[in-house]
Amino acid sequence: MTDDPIDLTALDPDADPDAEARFVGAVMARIATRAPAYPTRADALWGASSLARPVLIAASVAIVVAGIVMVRASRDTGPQTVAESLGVPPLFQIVSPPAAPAIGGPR
Amino acid sequence: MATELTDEELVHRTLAGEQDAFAELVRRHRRAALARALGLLGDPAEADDIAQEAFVHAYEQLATCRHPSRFSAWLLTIVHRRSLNRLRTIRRRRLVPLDDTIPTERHDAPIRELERADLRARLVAALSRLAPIQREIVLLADIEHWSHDQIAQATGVSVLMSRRHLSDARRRLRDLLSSSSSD
Repeated sequence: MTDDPIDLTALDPDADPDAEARFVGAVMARIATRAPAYPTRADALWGASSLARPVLIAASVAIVVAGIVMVRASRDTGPQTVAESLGVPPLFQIVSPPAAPAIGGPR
Repeated sequence: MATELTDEELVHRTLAGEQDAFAELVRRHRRAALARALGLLGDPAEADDIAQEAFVHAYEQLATCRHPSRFSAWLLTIVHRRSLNRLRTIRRRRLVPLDDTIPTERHDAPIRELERADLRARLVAALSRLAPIQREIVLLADIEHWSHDQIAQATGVSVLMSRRHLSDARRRLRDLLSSSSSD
């Protein structure tokens, strides 16, 4: 049948049992002479920190958002003025114009 | 140690300074890299060299691998690019034809070895007559035993085209090998 696999075992890279070890050895030897060894970044924990980075960023955003919500909530429900905080009824909290100088006061 | 680790874990370990982890990646993906390079270059010695170069480049650029879980696809892209560059260089220099690059065996080599070298030479010669994509697919399918899904993912062709290329490649190879054996 035409769609049966072709026998390509003569081209199999593992026809020689030592081929794998030789190949890996050659690559690692090239790396040792040419490439910088990891970790070479200023941040020595880059590899590890990159794993946790998305989680840390998400947690930071959540904390900031929670903080903003809490501050707003406390502003909405808490007393807006000192008078309010002392329990003065709203009727007496009307802001009056600055008092005129007292008549007969010191000149 | 590292056999049960995923590619992603091996990549992170390499970046953390463990060279053994990268050696495991080389061991794991060597055959696919060689098949891809051989598919494009048609010469086992050149393919071996390009595959090694690709691994060295992958090591140097490992921090830029965006999806370590897809290390294999990333590596094969490097192999593909480097193979094409090497092909351009070969064509520019007009090196000797593919068939002439097969090393001649020693006269005192056992008969089986000579037969094997002869078969290998005929296979390489026949493969060199195929289109690069057909060569690549037949090598991945019949040496690496990859599925059409895997081949499609690695080469960028559809599963349907992968099947068609493989069928055409096998038919053509059979014709070429039968005509070369009758010569």
